[in-house]
Amino acid sequence: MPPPDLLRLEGVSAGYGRVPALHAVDLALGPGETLAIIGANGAGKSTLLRAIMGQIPLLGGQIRFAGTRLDGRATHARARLGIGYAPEGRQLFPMLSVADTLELGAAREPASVRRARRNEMFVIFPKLLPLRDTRCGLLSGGEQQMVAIARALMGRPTLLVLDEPSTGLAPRVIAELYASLARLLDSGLAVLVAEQNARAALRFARNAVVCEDGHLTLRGPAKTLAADPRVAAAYIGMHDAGIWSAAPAGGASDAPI
Amino acid sequence: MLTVITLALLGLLWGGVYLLMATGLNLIYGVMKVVNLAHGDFIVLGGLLAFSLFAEAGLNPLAAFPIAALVLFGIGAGVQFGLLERITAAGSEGELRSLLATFGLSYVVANASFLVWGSQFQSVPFLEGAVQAGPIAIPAGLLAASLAAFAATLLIHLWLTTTITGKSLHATAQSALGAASCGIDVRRVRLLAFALGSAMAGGAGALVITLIPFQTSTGGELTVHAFTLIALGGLGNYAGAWLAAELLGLTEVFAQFYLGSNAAAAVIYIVFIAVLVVRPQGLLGQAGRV
Repeated sequence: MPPPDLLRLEGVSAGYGRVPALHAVDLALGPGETLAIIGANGAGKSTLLRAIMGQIPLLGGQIRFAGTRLDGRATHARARLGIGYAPEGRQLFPMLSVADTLELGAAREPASVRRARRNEMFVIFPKLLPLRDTRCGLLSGGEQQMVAIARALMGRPTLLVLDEPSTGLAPRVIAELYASLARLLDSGLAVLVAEQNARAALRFARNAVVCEDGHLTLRGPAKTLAADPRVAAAYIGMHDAGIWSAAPAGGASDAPI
Repeated sequence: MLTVITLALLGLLWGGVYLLMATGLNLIYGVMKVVNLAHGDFIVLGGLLAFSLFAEAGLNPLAAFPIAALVLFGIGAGVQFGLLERITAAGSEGELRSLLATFGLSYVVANASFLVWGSQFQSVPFLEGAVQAGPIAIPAGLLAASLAAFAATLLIHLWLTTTITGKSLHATAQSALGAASCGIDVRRVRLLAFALGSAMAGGAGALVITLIPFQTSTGGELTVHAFTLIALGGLGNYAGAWLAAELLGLTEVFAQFYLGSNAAAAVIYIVFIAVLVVRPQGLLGQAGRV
């Protein structure tokens, strides 16, 4: 018997207005699993995550998290169920300090719990400790992304949903970020990450799906997909699988290839 | 010299009253990006409530202050829940809708007040003597109203900057999606912000009516005053609003003394325009700041 699904999407269609940007998507993720959603810009990855977080209404299908139907629940209610969300563009509070931002991630907990968890975050992301009193707006891109992830972890989620965490980051910073994420997995956290940067995401996640024009076209173990020429083809204008597979192993780049 | 010192003190005290008038508007704008055009009418309503409490029950304006604030808190919550939350839209579309809605609301509040209190000017007599400090005499009523206004503003500011609920207001102002990701119910935060901002208007009204008489149609003028202050200070900027309030208080008192009250009304707007020409983001303003 496989463990029951933590997150399950069945026939999910969603979009802006009445035009679906996501067509009948099925997806399942078990506790502690890692899944990367890769695909070109505008393929529907963010739309999929927004549908999961209730930022856009479903046009069809249903989403369950830990057995609970998410339909009709606002974003904050989904977060309270145990989904830590680091949205596209990070959505930090530019005028608030790192420490305050982290505490807000557990806003409903008593002060002692908030402080204890905040200090745990400084252990997981030691780079943030000297920046605790710095305003988020003054941080570098990599530091901001760490704060966004740490803030999402403050609510003790069972699922972490990351939307394009590598955007705007240097390859070395991306590698560092995914290394911190990998260390988190020991605690049994499940991670769903949407990435245009396929290489970094495929190296991190165990399984992956490819999103093209709002459909999930390929799925399988990340290692298998990393070597699949069709994955490269899923990116606009990229049909030369040779470049894809021959790419150097060290450091990811911002462009898919 | 003595005159200048006295005028400066008067100006600074008026600044405290202006600050309370503007802080509520600033809070609402900061959290919701809604310019509440009914803010001045809320101030007048708070003042007229204090008037009735004084006339009917002999209540001291300082005792009427929390009552007016509480009543306006309830009205603000009702307006947010029943009106503004239902017409939200993204971006400039939402700003235009809320502007039109609060514009209409200002007429509703002013006319409802008219039905209750009529059109005559009302005021509440309060501490009519003067406080003598050496050779300088300060009206006791202004001193008390100003200290109460400063204290209220300071309390709200401390609450906003030190408690987790206060910080969640800042967070919602800076990124509603970021706040929702934290499990913060942003609709509740907006309700709280609008109610609190309205309560500050109501409280300010109970103090201001002891200093200048109110008529139900005074609201528009007070909205412009409060809006001038926060535009001057940088929308959503608290330190800037404080500086602007003091600047406005000083300008007004000096202009009134040396140029007369008609000229004073014009001087305030000349200063306002001058600041906007030199620093369009406000005195301490930064784009996107809250």
